Order: sequence, then structure tokens, then C-alpha cells
Amino acid sequence: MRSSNFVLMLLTLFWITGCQEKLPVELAPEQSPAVLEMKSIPAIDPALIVEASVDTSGITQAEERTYPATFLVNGVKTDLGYSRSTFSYSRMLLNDRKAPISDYGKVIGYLGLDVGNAKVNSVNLPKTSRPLRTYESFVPGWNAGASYMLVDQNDQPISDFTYAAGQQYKFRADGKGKVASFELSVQSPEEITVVEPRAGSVAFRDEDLKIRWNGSIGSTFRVLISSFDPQSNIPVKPLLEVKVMEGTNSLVLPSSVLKGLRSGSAGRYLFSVISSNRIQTRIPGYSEDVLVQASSIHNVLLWLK
Amino acid sequence: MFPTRQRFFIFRRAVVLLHLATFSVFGQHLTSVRGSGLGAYTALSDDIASIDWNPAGLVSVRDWDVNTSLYSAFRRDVSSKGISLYAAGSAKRFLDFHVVAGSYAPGMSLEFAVGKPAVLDSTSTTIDQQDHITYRESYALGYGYQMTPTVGLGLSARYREQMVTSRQIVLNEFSGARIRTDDYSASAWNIDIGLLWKPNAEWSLGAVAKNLFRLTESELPEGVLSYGLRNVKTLRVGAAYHPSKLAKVALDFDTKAMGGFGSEWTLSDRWQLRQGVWFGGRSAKFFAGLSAGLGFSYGPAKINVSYVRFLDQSSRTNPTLTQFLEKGVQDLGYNVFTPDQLSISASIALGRTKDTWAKIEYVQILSEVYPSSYQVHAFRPLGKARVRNVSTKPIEARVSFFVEQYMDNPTETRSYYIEPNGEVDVPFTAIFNEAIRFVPSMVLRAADVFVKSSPAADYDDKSQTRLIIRGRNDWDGDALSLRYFITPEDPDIMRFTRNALSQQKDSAAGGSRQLEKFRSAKTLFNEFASRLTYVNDPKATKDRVQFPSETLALRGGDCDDMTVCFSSLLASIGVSTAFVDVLPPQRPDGGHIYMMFDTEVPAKQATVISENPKRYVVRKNERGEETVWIPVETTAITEGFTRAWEQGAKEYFDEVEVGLGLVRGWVRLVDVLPGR
Repeated sequence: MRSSNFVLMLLTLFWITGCQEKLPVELAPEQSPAVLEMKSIPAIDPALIVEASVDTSGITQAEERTYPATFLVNGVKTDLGYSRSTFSYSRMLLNDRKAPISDYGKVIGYLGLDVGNAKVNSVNLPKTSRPLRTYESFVPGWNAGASYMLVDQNDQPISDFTYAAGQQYKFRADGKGKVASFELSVQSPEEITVVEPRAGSVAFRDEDLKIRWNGSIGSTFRVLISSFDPQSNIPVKPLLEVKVMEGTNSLVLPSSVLKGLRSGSAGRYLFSVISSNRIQTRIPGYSEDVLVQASSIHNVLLWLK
Repeated sequence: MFPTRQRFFIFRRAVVLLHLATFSVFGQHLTSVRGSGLGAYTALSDDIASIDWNPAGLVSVRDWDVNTSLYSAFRRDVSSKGISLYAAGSAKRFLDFHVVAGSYAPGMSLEFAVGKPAVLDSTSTTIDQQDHITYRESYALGYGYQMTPTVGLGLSARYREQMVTSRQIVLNEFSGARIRTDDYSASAWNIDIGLLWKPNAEWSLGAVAKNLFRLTESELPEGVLSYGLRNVKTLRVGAAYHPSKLAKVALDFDTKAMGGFGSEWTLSDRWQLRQGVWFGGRSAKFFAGLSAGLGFSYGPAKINVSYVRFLDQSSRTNPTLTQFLEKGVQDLGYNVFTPDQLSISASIALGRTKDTWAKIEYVQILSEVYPSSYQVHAFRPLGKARVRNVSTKPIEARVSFFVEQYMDNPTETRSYYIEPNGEVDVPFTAIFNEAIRFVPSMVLRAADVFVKSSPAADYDDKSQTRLIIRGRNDWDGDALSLRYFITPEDPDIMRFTRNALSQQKDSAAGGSRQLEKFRSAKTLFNEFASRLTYVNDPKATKDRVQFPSETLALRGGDCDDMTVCFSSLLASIGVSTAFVDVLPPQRPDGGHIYMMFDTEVPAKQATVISENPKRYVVRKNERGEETVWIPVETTAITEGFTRAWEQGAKEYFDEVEVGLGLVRGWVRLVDVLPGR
């Protein structure tokens, strides 16, 4: 074989190989095995009627819109480092989708339905004329219909009702109008207490963050990470929802996630660890699914640097 | 060697290859297919891949070396993507001891996609926030310097580029989730220095300091520094042992406790089989991998194939970010993420391709060449070449000599045995052709001197020297050389003598046969005297001598010319002559030459020539018989034979008998033996 032919052979090899493109080496993600799913939470629409903050209700604004009727009973602990509070919260709200409330042509909420007298277990749920309150105004306006809550308009407890773990809670109402009387039950999960990290401590974005808690978790367990600014009209703005596998008592949030958290809250974030038992059901005379939820909520303030 | 035209085509095609290479994108590769088959190549590096393995190996490049390689990676977690081009490069030796090399290696690149936790947007769609890390070492330059026949030094510079595309999800309370993309890049020249030492035919040792220096153009910022290439200074040493012509074993080991060992078996002139074991490094298993290779060579072309299988797949299959950050990447060619792979390379050596075992240290030309005496150089050394054995084994060296136009074929000396690193002066001769006889005046010609050692088919080394060729009438002043101007068979000479003797035929009839030579000489001389005149050399030097036919045509000449011409006339009728070369010690400028001829009259009968013993010389002729010789001063030609004889006899008597010139060496008798 002449050398020139050899070089021609090389050329042919080049042609054969063409422009083969190689895939990059995929480096598997560092994800806590406890994490089922992480989902960004859409920014809060400040024009919508405020029912309760996520750290209190345990449900997001999007869930509020998904479920027009919610029956909630929550044990809420809030550790800010410099202060600690606990209170029990219960609410029964049935929005009438057929009665939207509009503001400049935009639906900002629905009128609440009056379903007669209501109780959670043996405790009366006071019916209040729901004020039309938005994040923007945060000032009670005209009546947005009925709701049943154990807190007053300033979110202060109005009864001696105390949330207890592992207890059956029954929401009852006499019924009124199209809605017949009903009774809905939900078992409260064990009380959840975050033991790591300490409230008010500093966590570094460059490092993974381990969150550990005590107590068996309910059917739904999630950690909601929210920016926190007590001076703002919207002190708690949820950013990320981390769903956690059943049967675990810790999770690791990778630093790449922590780096992505951005807010104007000077690095203050509220980690709401929420263990819930949820039931999705129907009640007679109400055309949509209702959400019945009992939650143990522990809100922990962390500073992210 | 290739004809110039063919070289050009090969070069042009090589350039096309380089261009084609620029259009491909590649992944990991092990540099040098031969090296990857062996697993240890530091002490055996001998091709363009030496840039990466051991730049000192570049000194093995003989002239031009063009190389290209392809590969296919076999990852066990993803399907193969076929064959890709890895690199194309070339090396060139210049000024005997220097080699430069350059390679373009698009395959010398690595790309990682850094997995990040999956984050869904509000519609449960996964947000792509993968970081992409790209390393490239596309350009490399190398230099090799042959310090001594057994020691080579090398330096290489590899242009390393690092590009990081960071995609970060930003969870903002106002705008929700969005992706922010940041691009970072860094580049630097990493410098390696290598050494190769072949103390003898059995052993070769190599060492290379990797990343010894770094010329940084830009660095990655702090935030993505963990994604950067490692630039750890590493020393790798290697040894290779050649127990026989059929086998080589090699071992590599570095300061990171990584290395390999392997062997190469020569199955035939064209086929080699290789196998290697890779060990240590950051592998979870001590024996990191196994390799096998096959080499095929045909003339200047080589094809190598190798397959490397890694036993430790922990970071080669579904690698994680943690593994990446812990182990990092230092060598783009071989690292813990390098997958199993099949590689093939093809290379071609252009120009001079054989090993050099013998070198010409210098050439000395011992004499100028006089066309009149050109034949003597067929037997007498014209020059000598000092030849050195630059190999590690004894050689038999022969020297060839050739002058274009004036030689039909090169002459070749006998074989000279030379010990390793020893040197020998080899005298060489020259057989010139007839063309040299017609050189009108002095010329300077380039002469080629070659040396080749016995196992070599082609020559090992070549040297060019200058050769002075004198004009056809030039004479070196030595009376011995004057003999080569004697041309008794020249037609002009033959014609002259026949004519002269036939005219005197009648007058010679009846004379003593014993004096026939004497009478013929006398007749020729008188005829010669009647036609020619003594004149001085036109250049007033004695370095120019006319050939006899020229003297006859010109009707004259100086003493040299006349002596040569008359000797030729006598030789043409079978009369022996001799030159009397006189160089008086008191007057070096008074050198003179005349001649005497043999009358073939026996010494005992000298009286038939002359009663006066001072008029003749008794000396032995070529048959060993003492005969009577008549000295003749050819410059006295116009005065006739008798006067010329008388003057020649007087000069001889004064210079030899009285002055003892012969005894003292300032008079020399040179017998004219035409053709010798």
C-alpha cells in the first residue's frame, strides 16, 4: 500500500466518523431520599381575598383556589428565635363559586355560604361576617359572606379550643339553604416538633441544610419555605414546597435549592413543617369537593446567609 | 524517502485531516492508542502523543510524523454513540537535535451535566437547572531536544479551557420561579517537562513532571471553583525493559500512586500485541483496569488499536456530583470518569524514517583533485570521515562518497566496526568518470558523504563537503603527478612520431641496431626541435602543464610542457623515460625539471654512446638491467639534440655527481610509466 493511499484511508475514516456528538457525563443529583418532590409556589396574588396565612392554615393560596370549601383544624407552633407562640386554629369555609366577588372586573374571591350553626367536636365555631380583606389593602372591607373560625378578625383565638394530636375531629353543621346538614371527620396527626435546626439560627446557602423533627408524620407531610418579613403586608410569602416521604423524620435540602431562594426579607425564611391528615370528600348540597385537613404545624425562622 | 511531489500531496491531505477534525465534538479519551494498550508509556513514548505522556519522547521522531486517532466509548449506563475523531497532530525534526510538535485534539474534552434536585414549576413541569461543565485541552505544543544520543528532554504546553454554565433556579416571592444562567470561563497553559534516558539497548527510563508550571490567562470565580480542573503537580516515572527483540515490558508509577504495567510482543515484522494492567489512582479497586492492543505497521504507516476495560465502575457508571467534587478531574485523557473504550490511531512518518545509528562527525578532504591524475583517487584516499556510533550497540559502518556529474556511482568503503559511542576515521576513495578530464579550470563542487550501519538498508547520516576540482592543465608541482600528463597513445603524438621516424627511415638504415632507440630519440628530438620553441608558462607558474597534443598544437611550452611532450613522444615508440626533478635547497624558487631516456644499451657497452662517462647515466631499467640513459635538457630544444644532451648531461653531473642531489634528496628521478 502506498503511503498516499494510507492517508486516503484515514480520510475515509474521518468521513465515516463524521460529526459524532457525545453526550455529557450526567452527574446524578444530590437529593435527599426523603424528598418526594419540590415545587415552586406561584407568587401570591395580593389582590385575592385573604383567608389565612399559610403558616397558620397549612394550605397555600393555590390550594385555597383549588378547594373552595375547606375544613381545617391545626395545632400551630411558631418559633422565631426571639419569640415562641402556640395556638390552635380551626376554620370552616364554604365558598360559593356561583357568587364571585369582582374588583375592577377581576374575580378576587367568592362569597362564603351560611350553613347554619357549626361545631368542631363540641366547640362552637362562631359564624362571622367574613371581611373582604386582601393583601394589598389588608383592611377589612365589605362583607364577603359567612365563615366559621375560632379566631377573630385580628387572628386572635376566641375560645379555649385546644388542638390535640391523635384525636378525631368532627365538623358538623345544621345546614342551610341548598346545603344540607353534614358531619365530616378527620384524625389529627401526631404533633410535629422541629429539633434541627434551631429557630433563629443561621444556615449557609453553600451547605446542605438538614431538617429533623420528632413525631410520626401524617398522610401528607411537607415543608413550606417562605420568605418572612413581619413588617410587610404579607409577612409570609411561600416560595417552595418540599413534599416528604412517609416514615422519615429528616430531610436534607441541597445547597443548590437554598441558593435559589431570593427575597427582600434580608435572609429571613420561615420553614413551615406541616404534617397533615387530609380527606377530600363531598357534602350534600355542595357541588364541589371539599378538603378536610388536620395539621400539626411547626414554623421555624432561619436566617440564610 | 518520498519524492517531493508525493510529499506535497501527503502534506496537503494531512492539512485536510486537521480541518476535518475541527468539525467534531468528543468525550473522554486515553491519549496514545499504543500507550493505552500497554498501560505504561512514559519510557516508551515515541510519537505525537508524547506531548501528553512524556514530551521527551518526541526526540524519537525522525523527520515528519503525522498522526490521527479515533475512539469509541462504552459506558455501561448509556448507549454508545459510535466512533469519533480524537486528535490530529504532527511533529517535525529540525537541525538534527530538535523536534517540534503540535496537536489539535477536539476529543480531549470532557463535559459534565451537573444534576440538581428536580424542581417543578406551578404546572408540575420540571425546571432544567443543570449546570454544565466543559473542559477542553484542544491545543498542545511540544518540543523535544536530543541532548545526547541516549538522553532526550521534552517540554509541552497544553492549553486548558474550563467553561461553566451555571443554571440556578431563583425562587422569588414576587415573580415566582425563574432560571438565571451565568457563564464562566477560565484558561491556562499547563507546562510539563519530561526526560527520557536509554542507557543501553535493554533499558529505557522516563520521567515527566506534569503541570509543573501554569501560565494562567483567567481563573474561575470563587462560586464555581469547585467545578474547576485540578492542576496538581505530579511526577510520573516509567521504565521499560527489552529482554529480547520480541518483547518489551513497561511500568509507570506516579506520585498519586497511579500507574500501570504492560508488555508488547512482536509477532512479526508488522504485528505487535500488547496488554496492560492499570492500577491505583483514585480508583476504588487497586487494579483499576485491563487493556489490550494490537499494532500493525507497514513501511512508514502504523495503525494501532486498543481496548481498555475498567474494573472499577463506581464513578464511570451513573457518577454523582459528590464523586465529581471529591475526585475531580486532573487529566482529561484518563480520569475516574473515563469509560471503557476502543481506540484506533493511524500515523505516518514522512521524510527520513529510520533510526540513526551512525553519525558523521566531520569530513576532511585530503587533497584537491587534478583531472590529469584523477585515477589515483580510486586507490589513494581522497578524504576521510569521522564516524560515531550513536546507538547503544556495536555497529559495522561503511562510508560512501559521491560527486554529482563527475562520478557515475558512489564509492563505498569496507565495513568498520565501531563500539557504542565510539568513533572511527574512515578513509574513502573516489572513482571519477571521464568528464573530469575536461574541466577547463578550477571548480568547486559539493560532494556527498554518507554513512550507513550494517543493519540499515538506508543510510544513517549524510554530510556534504566541498571538493576542489582543478582544471585539466593544473598541476600540483609534484613530478610524480607530471606522469599523468604523459599521453603516448594520443593520436597526435602517434602521428607525430610516425611521420618523424618515416622521414628519417632512410638515413637510419644500416645503423647499429644497438643504437636504434638512441637514434630514434635523436630523430624525434630534432624533429621536435624544428617545430617547437621553448616559451615560459603563460601564467608564469609551474602549476600549469600542457598536455603533449596541446604543446604540439601550440608549437611550444615551458620546461614542464616540453619534458612531458618529449617523454610522451619517446613513450609512444617504446622508449622509457624518467624525469629529473631538481629542487635546489639554496634556491627553492629555482626548481627545474628535465628528462632522460633509456637507450637500452647495456652499461658495459656504454662507449658506443660516448667515450665520456659524464655524458650518460647508468641506471637500472624496469627489467632490472643496467643500461645507458641520456639526460636531455628539453628547454635547449632550439639548439638541437646534441646541445640539449650536452646541457642535460652537465646539469646531471653537477647536481647529482658533484652536488650529491640524489643522496641529499633534492634531486629526484621519477620513472615515467604511462598509465600507472
